[in-house]
Amino acid sequence: MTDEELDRLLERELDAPEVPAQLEAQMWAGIEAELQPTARRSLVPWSIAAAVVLLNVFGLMTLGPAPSAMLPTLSGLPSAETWAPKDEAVLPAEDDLQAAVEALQQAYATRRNDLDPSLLAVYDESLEVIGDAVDQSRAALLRHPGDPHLQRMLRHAYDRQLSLLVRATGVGP
Amino acid sequence: MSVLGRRAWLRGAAGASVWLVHREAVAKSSTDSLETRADVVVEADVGDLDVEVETTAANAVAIVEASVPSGFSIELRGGKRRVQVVVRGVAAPGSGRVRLSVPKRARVTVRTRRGDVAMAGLDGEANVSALQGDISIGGSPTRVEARTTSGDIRVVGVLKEAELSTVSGDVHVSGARGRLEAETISGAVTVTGAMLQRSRLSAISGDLEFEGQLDAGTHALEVHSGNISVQLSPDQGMRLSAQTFSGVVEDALLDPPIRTRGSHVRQHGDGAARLQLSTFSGDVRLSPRSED
Repeated sequence: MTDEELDRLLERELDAPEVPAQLEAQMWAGIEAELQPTARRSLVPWSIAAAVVLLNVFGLMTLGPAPSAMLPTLSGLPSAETWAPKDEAVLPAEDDLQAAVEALQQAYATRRNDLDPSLLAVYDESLEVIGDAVDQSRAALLRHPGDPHLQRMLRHAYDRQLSLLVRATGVGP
Repeated sequence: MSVLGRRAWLRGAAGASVWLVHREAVAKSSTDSLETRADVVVEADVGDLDVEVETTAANAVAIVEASVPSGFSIELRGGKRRVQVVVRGVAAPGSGRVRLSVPKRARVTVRTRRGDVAMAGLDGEANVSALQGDISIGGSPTRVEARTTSGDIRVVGVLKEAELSTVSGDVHVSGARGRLEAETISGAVTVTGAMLQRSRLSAISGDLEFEGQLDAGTHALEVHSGNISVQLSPDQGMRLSAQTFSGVVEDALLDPPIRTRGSHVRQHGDGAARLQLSTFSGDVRLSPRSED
């Protein structure tokens, strides 16, 4: 990651407007106003990239009954026939994220037998930890819809989940 | 010529290479070396092998010591600008160890499957990737990139930038300067004596601890299930936002300290450093550095 990329990443997290310290409540509202539009820009390419990489590497065949049904549209994601959101979205573009996660999970399932058992145990345990984090953040967001902190935590969990799945499936760098 | 195994060859400088083929476990020292000024690449695509790298003032790469299982081979090849140390072998029980010396300012790349990697005294750059094993890098490297799936990462004294990633393990960084990214899924991230321009510390399950100074720039510490502890000078200029969903935020940099649930935002000084602390189920605590 270059300095510029890291800056953009961190700015995404911290992009708060310049306001006096005493205006804390307004400041948080400002932070969230800044964060929400950027979230879609930052996460959608990630999920698409993950899915596209997966689809390219695994030749579409492992992900569904018929390759034609899995041919990526411009979004590069599985079609609605093969994937549907599990729950109401609590994040912008969450359906894209979930589709990418599910596709990578299927690829991981096909690769399990090739992995060293001790490595497999690490991946399984870590994916379970992240899965719990996703579930907890989602559950909290369902109780507190739109909460910016919870949205940030859920994005963080999804980001790590995708990153680990890409690593575990061996399709990443 | 042969000091490590039963067979070894040394070719001339034009196609400089040294082959060391091991027929049985050995543990001897070697002065076999090739000159290099820049890149050193160590590839150990074998079972369980520890790699130790030490530095020398000379512009040369040398195998100082090797102890490897039967059937392994070590090849040292390359020239003045790039040297490869390649360890190959069939999967075999047992573990091995290779100790190398490299130029102090070399750019060292190490790729291993299983085993620990340790570097000491490096002033150049280090890029280490291990599937399973601990990674330890010391000296004053300008840049460090370290990645393991199962193992701890320990880095001392990086001067410009570090990118550190483990899935299951802890990350310890001391005396870092410049830019730091450190992440783990299950484990702790501990940073001490830092003076950072940009940083991102991340975990899913584990604690994050930071002690040091934040220069103008953005700094984010984020964990799902774990506590965040930050030690700074009370004079640290920053824009702070600290948040927890189910824990408490305690800011003991203030006098008197404050303790609250939810979020805590404040600005001190010029606010040039932007510090974001986020946890889902944990506490956030800011406190003065011990020397302050």
